[in-house]
Amino acid sequence: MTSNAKAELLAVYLERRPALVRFFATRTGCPDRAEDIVQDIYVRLQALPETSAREIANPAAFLYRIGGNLMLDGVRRRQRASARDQAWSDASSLSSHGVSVADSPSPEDAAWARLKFDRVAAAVEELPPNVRIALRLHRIEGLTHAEVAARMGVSRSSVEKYLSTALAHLLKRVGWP
Amino acid sequence: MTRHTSPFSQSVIDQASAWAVRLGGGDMSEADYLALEAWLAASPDHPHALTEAEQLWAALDDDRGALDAALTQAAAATAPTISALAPRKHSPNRRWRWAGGGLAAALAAGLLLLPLLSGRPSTYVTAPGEQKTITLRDGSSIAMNGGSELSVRLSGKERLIEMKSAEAAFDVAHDAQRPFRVTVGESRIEVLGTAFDVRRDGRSTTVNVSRGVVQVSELADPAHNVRLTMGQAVTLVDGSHALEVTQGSTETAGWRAGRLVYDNRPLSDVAADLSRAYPTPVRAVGDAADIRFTGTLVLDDQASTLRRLEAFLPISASRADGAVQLRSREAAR
Repeated sequence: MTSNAKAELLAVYLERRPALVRFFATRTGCPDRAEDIVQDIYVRLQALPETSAREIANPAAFLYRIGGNLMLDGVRRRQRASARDQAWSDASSLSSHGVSVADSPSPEDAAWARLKFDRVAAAVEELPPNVRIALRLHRIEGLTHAEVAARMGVSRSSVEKYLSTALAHLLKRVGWP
Repeated sequence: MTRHTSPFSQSVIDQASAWAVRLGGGDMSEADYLALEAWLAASPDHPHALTEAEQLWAALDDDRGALDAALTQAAAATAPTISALAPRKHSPNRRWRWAGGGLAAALAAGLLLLPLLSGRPSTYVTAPGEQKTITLRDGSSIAMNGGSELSVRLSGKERLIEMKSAEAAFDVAHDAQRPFRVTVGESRIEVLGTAFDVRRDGRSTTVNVSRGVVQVSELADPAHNVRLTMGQAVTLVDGSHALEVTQGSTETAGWRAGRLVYDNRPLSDVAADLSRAYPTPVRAVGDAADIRFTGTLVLDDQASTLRRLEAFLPISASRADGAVQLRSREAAR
């Protein structure tokens, strides 16, 4: 009986640790953050139940994936915090000693939002029909790449091509978030 | 707020987009990660471009309504056949058409990720057998089991989720300023930052906490409540006021891990779970409904799962009226 899938996973982690630190240092441009991320991967692994560990087909790739999620979570958390700070200062007339929270965007932000929506709509309109269909199936219906491929009757790599075309176009036309 | 256009060349944008899509697809091999590392190291622009691409890609999930509206508008403007390829239960087209400019602004504002925006509710639906995870603007995520429907409303003061018949696992981002509230059946669940599973079946609600502290109270009487900590569960039956805390599971809810675990549960419960897990509904007919089952069911494909269940229990499965019926073998004879 293989009751030590988790132990094996931890062994893979120890073996790949230097490679993971290097990867995340390159990704984040910050060796200290890379260390933190790789340490957090370890914490996640320890919390993983044996039954889940047994279902992991590709342990090394799994480690990279957890790290990627941790990294993105960290980025988004910081953005939320800075957006919150921004809202505090924007809503200065409403807040006294920092106890009130603005719950609507400023008129300026709303105008920018409308402009941005128009740009998204225009950018999406410029995409080829296949790309739009793939985008809808993946981002709205929540299908995986393989499921989109099956639904559209095309290969997985075509689906990835469609989706990256959509993303590149949005990045270019709508601007960076 | 930063408002800028891309500082990167077209080819860097294309490459970053391709990597972001592949990373989002979740089936990168170790060799792919090493190739990615080489690409990242090739230019100082590359890591920045990838992070921006990943963020925009993730941002599209934060308000699907806006993207949906944009796609619908584009489809209407170009080819009228596209929407037919994407059948959906809750078409936002209708709302979109009559609500006009005000809603457009609201949708667009959502797309901008203004975190304190007073929210319009978004409704999410899964078909039987379909599971999906939604990520909210506050960073919380909700994994929905098949056959579920819930609506989400985020405002500056609170985060409100309304669950109909559904099962969902919540991983709540900590935000002491905005309590996260789930109303379901006759109860209300309130949390700050935690992970838990809620399931609503017919007339009862079960809450199972895997991390943090959750307070469950009656909607009609908030003073009547229990606090659950890690590993505890409570089941509430509509119309009854009993809030009995039991030992739950600290593991990820079974349906998320592709398996279901039962301890002396009636087959009718198992059938209800299988109906969420697969497109074809499963019913326990007659005496079979009361047969007890203890064990773990692995959810691979429906036929195999049913075969294993038949091997465990004195029942037989047959198809009728677009559903699978489970009958006791005694009765069949």
